Amino acid sequence: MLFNSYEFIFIFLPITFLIYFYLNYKNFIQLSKYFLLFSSLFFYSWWNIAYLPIMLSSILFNYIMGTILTRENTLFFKRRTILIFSIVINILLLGYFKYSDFFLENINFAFNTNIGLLHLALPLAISFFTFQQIAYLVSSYRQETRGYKFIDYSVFVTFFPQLIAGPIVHHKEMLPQFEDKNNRLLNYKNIALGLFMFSIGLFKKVIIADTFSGWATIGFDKAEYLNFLEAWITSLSYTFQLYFDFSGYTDMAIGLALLFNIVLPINFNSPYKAVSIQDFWRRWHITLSRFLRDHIYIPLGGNRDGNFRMYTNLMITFILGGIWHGAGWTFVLWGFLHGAALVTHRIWKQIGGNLPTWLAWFITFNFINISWVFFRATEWSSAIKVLSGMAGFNGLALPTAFATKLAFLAPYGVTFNEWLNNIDGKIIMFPWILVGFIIVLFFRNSSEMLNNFKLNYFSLIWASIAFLVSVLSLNKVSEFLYFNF
Amino acid sequence: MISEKKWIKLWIVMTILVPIIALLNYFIDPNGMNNKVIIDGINSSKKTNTGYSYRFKTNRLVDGKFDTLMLGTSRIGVMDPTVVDTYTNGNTFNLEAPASITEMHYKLFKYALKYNNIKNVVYGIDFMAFNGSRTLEKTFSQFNGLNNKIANGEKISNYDLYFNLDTTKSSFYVLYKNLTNQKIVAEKFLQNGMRVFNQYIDSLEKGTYSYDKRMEFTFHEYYNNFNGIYKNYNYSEEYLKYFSKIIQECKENNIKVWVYIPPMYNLHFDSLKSAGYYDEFEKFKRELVKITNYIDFTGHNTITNNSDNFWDSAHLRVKMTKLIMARIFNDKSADIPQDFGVLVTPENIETHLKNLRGQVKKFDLEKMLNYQNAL
Repeated sequence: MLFNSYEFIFIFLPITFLIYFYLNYKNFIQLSKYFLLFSSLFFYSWWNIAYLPIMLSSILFNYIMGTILTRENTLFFKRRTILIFSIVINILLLGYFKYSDFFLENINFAFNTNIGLLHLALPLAISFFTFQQIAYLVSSYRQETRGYKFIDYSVFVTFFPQLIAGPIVHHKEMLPQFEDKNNRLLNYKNIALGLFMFSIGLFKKVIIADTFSGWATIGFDKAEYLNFLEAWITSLSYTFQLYFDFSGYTDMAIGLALLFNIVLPINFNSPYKAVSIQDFWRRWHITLSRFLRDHIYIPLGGNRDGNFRMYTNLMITFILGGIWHGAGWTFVLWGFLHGAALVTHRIWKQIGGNLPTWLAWFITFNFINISWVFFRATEWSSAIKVLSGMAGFNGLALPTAFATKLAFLAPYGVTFNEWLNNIDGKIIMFPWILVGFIIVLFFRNSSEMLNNFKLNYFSLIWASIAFLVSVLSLNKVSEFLYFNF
Repeated sequence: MISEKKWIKLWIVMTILVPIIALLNYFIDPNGMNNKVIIDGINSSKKTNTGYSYRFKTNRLVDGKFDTLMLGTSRIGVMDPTVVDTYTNGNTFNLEAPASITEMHYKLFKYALKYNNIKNVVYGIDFMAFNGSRTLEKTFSQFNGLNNKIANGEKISNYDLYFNLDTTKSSFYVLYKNLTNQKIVAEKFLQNGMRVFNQYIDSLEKGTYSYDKRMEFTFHEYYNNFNGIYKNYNYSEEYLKYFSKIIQECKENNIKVWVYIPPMYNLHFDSLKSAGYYDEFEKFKRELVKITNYIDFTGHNTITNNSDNFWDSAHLRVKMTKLIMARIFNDKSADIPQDFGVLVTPENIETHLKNLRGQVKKFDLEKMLNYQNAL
């Protein structure tokens, strides 16, 4: 079930909310937890109930392993062996569903074989619940999870606001909240905050991201024909689509969780304001960065063993981060580019390099925008075609109206007709992109809005209109980008 | 500052506007999708329903009232089903899918079969329907959005159209126009699925209709570099299979089927040669006749040489339905020009194609495609 669907907004959410708090009001605490678990599983199964046994098996396995790991003494195997075994099983599960075909394709290519592909459907949210549970296993190994009941653990993993696309939450920040008696009662402030955040997130997704989405899709479909302006509109449209889509989803998740008195961690902090690539990764998909840092970068040695080792660790972390997003060489390259950019940034800082803020932002934003092209493109060649267009190799076309005034540009290959035809171009794209820049660079982000939230008519009207306009624009229900990852 | 409870209550009150607006949209029904409540001076004059072709047509089909189907692109869409009724003694539905490919024809045909006891099919098959460069996913987003439901034969609900900002704007527009006694002139599907070009009829009556401008515009629709119907024409064997399956399933279900290639204005026919598609155009006809005989109305003939018979280079006027159907149903009593419509069989296909090739005239497509003139 999508957050931006009628069945979720008008049926699932109100019913779940009312029954959950009614059960708590009647002091049926355990029942309310089971109800929340059931609701989350129903929410998950709405797409395809066939995925449910996979997720339930994963939950059961990790809970049992987590419980064993919290014991001082284990039979037969050392705790470290059990931890490694558990993590390997999780990675194998993820790898089987997500990377089998990618692996087989590469085997076929490298050894000229013809092994048939499996064409497995990727179980929804598997990347997210796998990471979340690996973190839990590590905590269990550190004896930090003792005493959690299976129902609590299951609610923590499946809690529907964060189940499908994060934020990737940690048991330390979630389970105590479910245990807190105060959170079992209606909290009007949290409800108001939750409605506010949900409305803003819905608006970001439905009105902003989906508008850019159409332009990005058409541009990448026509990659080989894109002229300079078309290619830049395409790449910027995707850059904005991705941000508004994913951060819109996160805002909705945060808002929904608040309705249940659960505070989810922030996941975005105005990432396109970043003035370095390091700054960017402190602002973009923060909970993923946190996971990669705690469970890959630091265990690899982090920055403890000298510069060369640190650079290697950064590269490994980001290449793995790239492939986590999808099974394809374009994702590997995207991760590699970001790893390389971080290494470059570290070296630059070590030699005392400094840039004016505007230039640092300009370089960072353009790097991110260009690297998203690899992230979005389905094939390497498609990415190169878009980038060729952005570099001007496919020429520049301008409106016919400029043909006379700018005629002196014609000898340089500038043409004056069909200037945005390949992307079904409309002049409205330019103000939209300008608005996109203004919002990401000069507006408060959602978490800042949440922190500064005031119960007044302004916030009420703003949230109501955002909700109203979004709900009335839902006729093209579209999935969130991060569902694919 | 207002209290938390008050903020929440007011937010809920504001959001109750959503179902109220949806109800308003349902009753005003600005695009004529349900036609449940029609009140003169309120909503009797409506906007077009052709923007929701597949919803409208599938909604009609589920009533199970039809025994004859007209299948194909908009070229058959502008033909009058009541004329077909006179030959089949049945109740005909025009299941035209605009600018479509055969995959869509097949899915719509199966959908119609599920809900109706179909006995006859009149299939106007077009060259454009075999262009493999046009796919459901990339070209027909509206159909693609309903693809699973149509393929599974599910009933298609329109409730999401009522929870819609564009529909809301349309409702207010329709309300305003009706309250101020202004008639809305728009292209429409009738309840039997026929497409009526009300806007052309209106401008013809007012004397403002320009065939040349419409024709130029149509040429642009077919040949423009962005999403022209013929762009990157690539004859699809896959699409031929869909056509073949329709014919086969008609046979299996004892459904009588009449196939024809609709007439196009003579310049449109000539343009296929100028665009370099004529070999593929002939291939399309050769492959078709391996599956079934058909009547071919293309080429230069008494009807296609007269622009008064067309709205543009691709669409006949409705009055021509009688001639087309008389030829298809072999009505001896009708006065049909001898050169209009040739029965094509495996025996005469090569002679027929040779004859047609001889009719092709030189045509300056580039000049026609000057978009500035079309506008």
